[in-house]
Amino acid sequence: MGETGSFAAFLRSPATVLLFSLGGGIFGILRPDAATLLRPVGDSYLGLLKLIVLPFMISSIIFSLRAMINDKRSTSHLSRMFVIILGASVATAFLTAAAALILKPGTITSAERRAEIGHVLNDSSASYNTSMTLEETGDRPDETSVLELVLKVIPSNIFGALTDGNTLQVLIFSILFGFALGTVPFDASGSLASGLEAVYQTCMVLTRWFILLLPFGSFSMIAAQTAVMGLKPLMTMIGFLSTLGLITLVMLLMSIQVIARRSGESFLTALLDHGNLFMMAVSTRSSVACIPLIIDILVKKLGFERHAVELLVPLQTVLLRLGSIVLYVLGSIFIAQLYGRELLPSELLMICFYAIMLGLSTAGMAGVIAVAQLSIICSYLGLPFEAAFILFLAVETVADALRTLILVATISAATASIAPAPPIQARLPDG
Amino acid sequence: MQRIRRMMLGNLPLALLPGAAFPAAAAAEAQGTDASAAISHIRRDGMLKVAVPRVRAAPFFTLSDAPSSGVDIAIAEALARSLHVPLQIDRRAGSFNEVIDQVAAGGVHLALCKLSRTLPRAQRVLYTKPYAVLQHALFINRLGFAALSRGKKPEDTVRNFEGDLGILANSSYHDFALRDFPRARIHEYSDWESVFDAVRTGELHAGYSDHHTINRLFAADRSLSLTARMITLNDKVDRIAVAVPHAAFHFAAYIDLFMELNHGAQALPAGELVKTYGIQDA
Repeated sequence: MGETGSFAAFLRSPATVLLFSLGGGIFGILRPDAATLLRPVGDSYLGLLKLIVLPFMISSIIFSLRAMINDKRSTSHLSRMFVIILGASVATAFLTAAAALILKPGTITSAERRAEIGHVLNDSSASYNTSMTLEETGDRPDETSVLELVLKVIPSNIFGALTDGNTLQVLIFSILFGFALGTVPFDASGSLASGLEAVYQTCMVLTRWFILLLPFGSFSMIAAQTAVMGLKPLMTMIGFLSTLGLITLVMLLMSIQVIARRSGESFLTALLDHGNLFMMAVSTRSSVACIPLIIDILVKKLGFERHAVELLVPLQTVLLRLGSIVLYVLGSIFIAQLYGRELLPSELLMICFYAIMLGLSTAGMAGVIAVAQLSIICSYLGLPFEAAFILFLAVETVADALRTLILVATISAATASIAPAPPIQARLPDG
Repeated sequence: MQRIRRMMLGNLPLALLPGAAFPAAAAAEAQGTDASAAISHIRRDGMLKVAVPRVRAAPFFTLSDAPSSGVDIAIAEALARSLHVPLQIDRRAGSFNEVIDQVAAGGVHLALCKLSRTLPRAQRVLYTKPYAVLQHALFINRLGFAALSRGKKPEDTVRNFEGDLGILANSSYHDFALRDFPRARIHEYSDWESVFDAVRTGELHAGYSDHHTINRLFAADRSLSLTARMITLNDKVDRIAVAVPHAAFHFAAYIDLFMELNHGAQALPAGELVKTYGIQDA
């Protein structure tokens, strides 16, 4: 038993996951063909993590809302959450704009570097040539209005939403159902609450089991990603990636600082507690898949109040989209710099505003589609997007991992800022 | 300045020539007295005079005086051999429209030089059936075009193009640009390189030419795709034909048959012509 326990502790250690991830990266570079074969392993692991997200989300939100509905603090939690989301979104947009304006990642004057970018672009056949007919063919695709997009989050069939894995619709259903359940006499809803609690606890157990596989999952996913991407695009986009990396680092450290102060733990302890979460974020590039682990860390390791955490983490995963805001602000300024276009202060403000609005729409969106939304800002600014899109796609694996890191760190920090802090000595032992 | 190059039969590739060995019997047969007026005229002149303008239009022809090369030069060489006369490339014309002037005035026997068919030209010369087909395309400055299409779809910006559009002066693209982009501000340049530079520096929003010409720019300069792009217009096709004097119906029919025997009855895209005639297209 002791040996099994120490082996499990070894697998759960952030250092082990980091080591396996680095190993995966090196393996992907040295043996890209073999590393590509590992993709199904990584995909299966990501599937396992996502497997429990929807039952976890439903059970935690409904159960927490029922428990909080008669608690006056719950209203203050939600109002604080909206204030924090707004404040953090604006601060992130400004921080990113400042970093981009100071570091100028898109200012590339060297002919050699521009030729390298051209090589990356020319690897894609559609990068410089598109076809169309001058005469309108009359079969224009129906355009979806913003109102239609917004209304799509309302589910007409919860089982359909569950089958499609539509996180947003499931979230809306859970919130409505949780509020309604809270108004039902407490005794009448007791059995359902017990059932939901059992589902929730089971999902937590599954999460802890799956964490044991994280080193192998990380190795496979990162090896396959590195094999496909190669190093050339990374070097070409080094300015963009290092600026994004710096912003990520600053936001990560600030988040850990907030969590440490709120939980009463040292900075290092809070950082180490989040080690596995960060590795999971990097390897899965899915903030939704990380929801159970964020809750586990905040409740079990750092002792924040469970009901608040269970409600706030899924909600903020949808609403606190700071990683996307960073992408949109940095991406727009990068493109303007790439084409030598000076941005007026009013245009910078417009970028920040649109980035915040667009960020909200990216919940549950695949990374590539989220990047494509940048074309909306570019279109308003009169900036060319198509070539830059190819460049962003070339490094999307790394950029998406950094954005997910920002997302999970800030969701954890924002939840820690709102949820009642643990009393001293409330930390539970690991396991 | 007169730029005339005589090409001797002994230097010509033989692969495309019917009766390639140019035997005495074939020559005697061809020298018969019942040839049409146009072909008799060529025989009397003792050479096939072909007009090609003093511009670059690779892979159809190059700018250099000698040895000029390209698809059109290769076809002209083979055509001259089929008539058993040497070829004379006349490069005095400074533009495509001047080439038409030469044919209409009878100064040359034909013009074989990536010549687009337009109605004004067809009033003065006779066109053969098209032997090449080129798709129209826009060479676009990305930044300028994005500013032009601010908030609009790129397709709508192209269809209602209101920017600065560069074309080759005295070429068929003047008529095409007026027809396809009536709201554009059209700027004419003496050579395609100047149009290209003006688009690249942002002086123009776009240049109007054919897909093959623009594609070669991207192949030659890999970094170009960062600042420029191409939009190919699938429904705008330029069919390239040979121009002969307006009365030379028999000669036009002879050239049609010659082309058909060489590379089939269909007009070919530039890329296929390049392969058929073994031209270096770089």
